[in-house]
Amino acid sequence: MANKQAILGSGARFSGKISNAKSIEINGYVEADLTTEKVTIGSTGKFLGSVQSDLVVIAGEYEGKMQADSVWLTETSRISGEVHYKSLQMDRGAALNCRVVHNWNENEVKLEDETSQIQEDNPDEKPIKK
Amino acid sequence: MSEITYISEELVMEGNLDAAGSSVVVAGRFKGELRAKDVLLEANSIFDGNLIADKVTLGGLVKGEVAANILNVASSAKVEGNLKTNALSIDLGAEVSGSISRIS
Repeated sequence: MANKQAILGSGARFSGKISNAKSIEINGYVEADLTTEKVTIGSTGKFLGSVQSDLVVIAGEYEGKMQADSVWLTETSRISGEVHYKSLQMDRGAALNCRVVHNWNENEVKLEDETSQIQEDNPDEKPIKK
Repeated sequence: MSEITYISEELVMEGNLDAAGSSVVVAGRFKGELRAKDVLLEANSIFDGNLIADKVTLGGLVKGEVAANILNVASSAKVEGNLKTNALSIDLGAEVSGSISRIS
C-alpha cells in the first residue's frame, strides 16, 4: 500500500475505541479515546474524546481533554475542552474555547524530586560499603 | 468529497465505522460494525463483526457476517461466518466455513 499511515476519510464516522495507533490522520467524525504518537485532525475532521499524544496538529474541530507534548492549532481549528501541553503553537484565527494548561513544570519537579532522593540515599550507602 | 479510510497494520479499532460512499482498507484489526462502499481486508488483517458494503475483498482472518453485492474471498483469507452476496468468487486456497446465501 502506498498509504502506510492510518487515516479516517472525510466521509467516515467512527465511534468506539482506537488503540495501538502510531500516527493517525482524522478527516471524518470520530468519537473515541485515543493514545498515539502523532495525530492530525484535518480541516474536515471532528474529534470528540480524550487524546494523549506526542504531537497534535489540529485544523478541524476538537472537543475533549488533550494531553500532548507539542500542539499546533492552525487558523481553521476550533477547540473546546481542555488542553495540556508542553509547547503550543497557535495560528491567527484559531478558535479556542477551552482551558489551557502548560504542564511541563509538573514533570520537571517530579524529576528533581527523584534525583534529590537518590543523592540523599547515596551518603547512607557509602559508609556501609567502607 | 470522499476519501479512503486506512486502518494501518498496528492499529486496533473497536466500534462502529460508517464510511458510506467511500472505501475502507483494513490492514490491522477491526472489531464491530463496518459500513462502506468498497472494503478491502488485507492479508494479515483481523476482522470480527458485521461488514456491509457494495464490493468486498476478504484477505485476512474474518469472523462474523459479511453482506456485499460483489464479494471476493482471496487465497489468504480464513473466513468463519455467514456470507451474503449476489456475486461471489473464492480463490484457490481460501478457507471458508459457514453459510453462503444470496441477498434477497
